[in-house]
Amino acid sequence: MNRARKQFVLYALLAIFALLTVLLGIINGANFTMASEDADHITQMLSENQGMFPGQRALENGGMRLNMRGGRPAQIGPLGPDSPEMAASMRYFTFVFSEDGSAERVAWAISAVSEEDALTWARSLLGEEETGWTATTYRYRVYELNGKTYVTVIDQGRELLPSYRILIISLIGLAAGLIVSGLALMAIGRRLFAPLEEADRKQKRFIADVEKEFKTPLTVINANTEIIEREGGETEQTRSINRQVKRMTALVKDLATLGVFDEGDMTRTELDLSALAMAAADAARPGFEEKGRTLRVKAEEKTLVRGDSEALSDLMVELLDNALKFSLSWAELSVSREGGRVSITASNDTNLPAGGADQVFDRFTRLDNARDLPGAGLGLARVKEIVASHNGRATARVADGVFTLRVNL
Amino acid sequence: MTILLAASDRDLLRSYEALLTLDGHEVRTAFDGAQVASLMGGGPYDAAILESALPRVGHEQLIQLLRRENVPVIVMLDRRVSARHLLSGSLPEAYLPLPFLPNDLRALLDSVTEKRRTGQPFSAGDAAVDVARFRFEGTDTRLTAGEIDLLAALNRGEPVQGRRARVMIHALNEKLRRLGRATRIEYQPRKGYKLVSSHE
Repeated sequence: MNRARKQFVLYALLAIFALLTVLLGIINGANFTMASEDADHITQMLSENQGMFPGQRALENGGMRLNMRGGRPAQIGPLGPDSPEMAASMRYFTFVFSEDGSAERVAWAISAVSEEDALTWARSLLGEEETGWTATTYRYRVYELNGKTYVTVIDQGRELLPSYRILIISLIGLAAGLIVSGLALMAIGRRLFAPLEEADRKQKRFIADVEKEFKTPLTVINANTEIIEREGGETEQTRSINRQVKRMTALVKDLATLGVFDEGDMTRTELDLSALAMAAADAARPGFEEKGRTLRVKAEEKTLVRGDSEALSDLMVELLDNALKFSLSWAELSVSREGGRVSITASNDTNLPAGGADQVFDRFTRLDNARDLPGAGLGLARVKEIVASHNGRATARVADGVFTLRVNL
Repeated sequence: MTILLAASDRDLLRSYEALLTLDGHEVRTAFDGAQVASLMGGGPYDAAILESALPRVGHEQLIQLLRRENVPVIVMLDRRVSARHLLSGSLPEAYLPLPFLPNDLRALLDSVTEKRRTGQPFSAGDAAVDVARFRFEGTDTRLTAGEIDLLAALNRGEPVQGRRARVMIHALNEKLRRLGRATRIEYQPRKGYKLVSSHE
């Protein structure tokens, strides 16, 4: 349950991260795209006017001024790149290159570079794409006019500054959002899962108590039954008592496999899972042969994992017990390594309908084909507990008449 | 035999007192650890059978007291025997998990007392087993009757299998490793468990 809670927090956090990343990505992407479009609009405007702002001379002669009324502008001028102030505020230069390689300065409104450096810069852009970013915050355009090649470079540093600020704030906001979300999810997770964890603890405690409370009485009944038989002879009643005690002992031992399993009891060492599988299969083989069923084992030479030897041996035994009980004619146990994980697969033929069958890992759950067979539905529940304690995953599926239990560690 | 039997459950105590008496043994009973301690002077005892969860004085302490009197101990365990039990500092001569049949107890009593009386030492690889003293020879590392039987079976080349065997093998390998012995018990496909040297 602790693991389920951590998974809930992790997946929720991933969802929040994805959502925030998409949202902030759209905002910042749109922001930078619009900045590029604004810059292209300006360079396009300059390219249509031989590298100068339209009406620049007209502006000098007062041609693009705002209408005034009462000593104040009577209109809101165009904003952004079309603003009449653009010509005065834009830092840019334009050079024109003739076929013979000579160059002439067409427009000059920049302070950051010398004319000589600007010429070298413009010349270096001649072989580039038609338009693009250069030196991070400068936008350029290369265009043909009257048989000559013009290169215009405009400084967009000031225009890009707010965009970069928004980006940095977005990243800080993303980090802060994730931290706050993480803390909130942990608190929410604790409250959400508390009832489930309590129910799980109570079930385990109940199973452990039932198991404990049954053991001593069964031992006493065994002893007293023998005393009765020795003093008065074996009777049908004492035989019946023995049969029922045997049945209850088997159930108690099944319960014991669940109740005793506590992660704190585990001793992790490096072990060979293939060897464990072979050992379990060799031990189970006589049972399969007795029932006329085939058991196949496929295990790589050495499959090393870090785990509890007892628990993983029990896991193999439970998988084979299950296969022996429910197979029709064959069963197979395989151990293989896939990437960084180890996979244990137990499969057998079956007449169950196709579909997922993960419910077999629930305690006391048995499928339809188990009706007339002994057992309480605890073996695979134990498999699930062992797998979970090794940070693994167990799944069950029926397809094409084959029941497959897969464990990934 | 004179047997010291201790259990906090009165029905368990009375039924096995009656059964062991029918078997011809003399049985002294105790309900808790303090009573066991007080019965120590009433020996000698051929064996002690203790419940694991005795009140007042725990079975680990009682094992140490009984060991000083040279009394072999069988502990009735209310859970499955795990490697952790077999690697504990106060190891009895045998564990008997509940629920058990009377014949299970008889077999274990016979095994423990027989080993104590006539057990012959043997070598399992580079580890010598002192059967009568339930330990690896020349060490303080104790062994249960089951572990000794398993080592003997492996020594004879007999097959061993089952959950109980796997648990004991895990514990024995750890004990051998702690003693710095080269011998290990390893599973070989189609051959089963074998005693091997870790140098191989």
